[in-house]
Amino acid sequence: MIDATVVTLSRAQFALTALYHFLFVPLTLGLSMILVIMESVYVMTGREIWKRMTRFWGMLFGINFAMGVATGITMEFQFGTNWAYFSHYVGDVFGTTLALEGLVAFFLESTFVGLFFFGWERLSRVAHLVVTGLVALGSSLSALWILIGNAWMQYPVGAHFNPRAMRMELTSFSEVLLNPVAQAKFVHTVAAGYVVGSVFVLAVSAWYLLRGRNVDVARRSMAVAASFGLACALSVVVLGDESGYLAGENQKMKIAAIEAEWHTEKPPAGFTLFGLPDVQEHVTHAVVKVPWMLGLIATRSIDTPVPGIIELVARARQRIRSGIEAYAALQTLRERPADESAQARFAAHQADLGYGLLLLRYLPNPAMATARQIEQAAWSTVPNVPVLFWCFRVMVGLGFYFIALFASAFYLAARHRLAPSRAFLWVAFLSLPLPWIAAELGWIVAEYGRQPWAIDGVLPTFLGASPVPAANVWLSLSGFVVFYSALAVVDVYLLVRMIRRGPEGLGYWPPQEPRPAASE
Amino acid sequence: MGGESSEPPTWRRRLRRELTGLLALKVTALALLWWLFFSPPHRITVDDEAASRRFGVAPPRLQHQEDNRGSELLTRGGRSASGASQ
Repeated sequence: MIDATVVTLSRAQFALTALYHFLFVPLTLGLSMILVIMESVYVMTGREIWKRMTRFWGMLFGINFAMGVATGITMEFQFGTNWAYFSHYVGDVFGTTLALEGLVAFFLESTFVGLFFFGWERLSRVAHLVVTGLVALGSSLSALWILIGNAWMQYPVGAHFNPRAMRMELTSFSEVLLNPVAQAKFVHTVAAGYVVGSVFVLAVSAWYLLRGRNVDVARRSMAVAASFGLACALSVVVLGDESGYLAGENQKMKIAAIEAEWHTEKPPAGFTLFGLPDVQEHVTHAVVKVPWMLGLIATRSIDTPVPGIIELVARARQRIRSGIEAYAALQTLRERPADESAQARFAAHQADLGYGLLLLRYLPNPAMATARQIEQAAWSTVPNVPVLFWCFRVMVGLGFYFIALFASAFYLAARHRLAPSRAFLWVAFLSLPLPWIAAELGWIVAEYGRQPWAIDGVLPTFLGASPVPAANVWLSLSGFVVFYSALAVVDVYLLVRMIRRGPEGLGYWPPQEPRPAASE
Repeated sequence: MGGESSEPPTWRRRLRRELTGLLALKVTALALLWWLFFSPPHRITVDDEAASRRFGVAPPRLQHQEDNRGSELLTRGGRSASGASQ
């Protein structure tokens, strides 16, 4: 049997490294685009202050970018070290997107990041703007390929299981590429990254205005962040709604768990604004609902039901029984590959093989499963309801808060009243950690909500883990905690030092002649 | 700083020294990581046989093994050929 401790530790390690890495990714995405906007204004107007703004925020972008790269590489290693069976089972598909991310996006991004920093005095204005644009494009392409891979884990298309090789094989790259879940995830995630970057610029600029420092830079930066951030915060909500619809189509259990909807409601289902999910009693107490809303989000109709958890467990039970048939046929095919009746039986039940594999957690041969074990496996398809319920609500609440924050900033900037509005500046400054909280909660909803699957409906997570000693994973997990804590201290120290110095206090490498006076 | 003199700039020498030191540190760290976690004794080989064990199904039966098994059955008169499929 598979060591459950190793699986738990490997999951904890991946979650830790992914959540940590995801602190840097959204800011890289957001700041890169804000740099493009600022530098575009510089190229169009020739005003030196916009160049200084681009260089200042670019310096902060550089620190964040380096941290993102360092923490991203360890995640790719983990597919080999901690998730060797996952890599074998789906490497043919998942490896493709990871490789493309490295080749197409990361090299592009890294090369042009170098040119961004060292090309100011060597490239023409327009050429440097193109470089900055390519940095932003590379960042987005990195996100695109990773999210195509991730979307395939949520909704696996364009691949089939080969019983001889015991793994999934790519059948249609275009289907993987054009996976609707990938498109929705990409635009939602990138827009959320833009919101993170905008709040960062808004909050740091608010701090300058509160202290009466770098006022010209801060006012302009806030105006850019407010307008760009408002557009992006609105997009995040709209695009998140599209993700909700697709999850309602393809990951019904995730939607039911997010809603703590135990029983199927009469359509159109209401959206639970507040409630206290009770996992033992399978009921949600003190429910406050918005009528119709869930039905419209998840089904785009008023007469299609959103199935509840109890009904979905019953469906899982049926699929597990079908999966047992697939597993038995697979056993026969491994013995006698030419057996035509086994081939037909496998083809008929292949779609449910993953559900049959869920039973390997409870017994070595799923074909011998008892009714009780099937029941256990069926209930194992329910993710952690309270965690998903609350993470989702806090994330959505923050999403709407950002719209209000940016709208207020936009209004004040348009009326040239940002600097005197000290209460708003404090609110903007104190909002600094909120977009990261929203982004991390979004990750938890997407990935924790996928459990118990590594690949939804295809590969249970516990089957993907490497058979390494638990002590090894303890060692690497402890190493990550220590190393990442040190990195966090260094990162915060560097960012705070740069911000305290401000645009005027930055030293460029190599040291330059005295800078010209600020001009509009 | 001495930036106005005609001698090679000190920042260039400092940069070279710092880059060399950092690269040496990086190579050492990478070598240590490789030795601790990725060197051959730490590698996990997952092929279809290992996957078969993980999923509790029979290992793959190769054509040449079937051929061998057939010839052994002929020569031994079907006494024992279990090892051929291992």
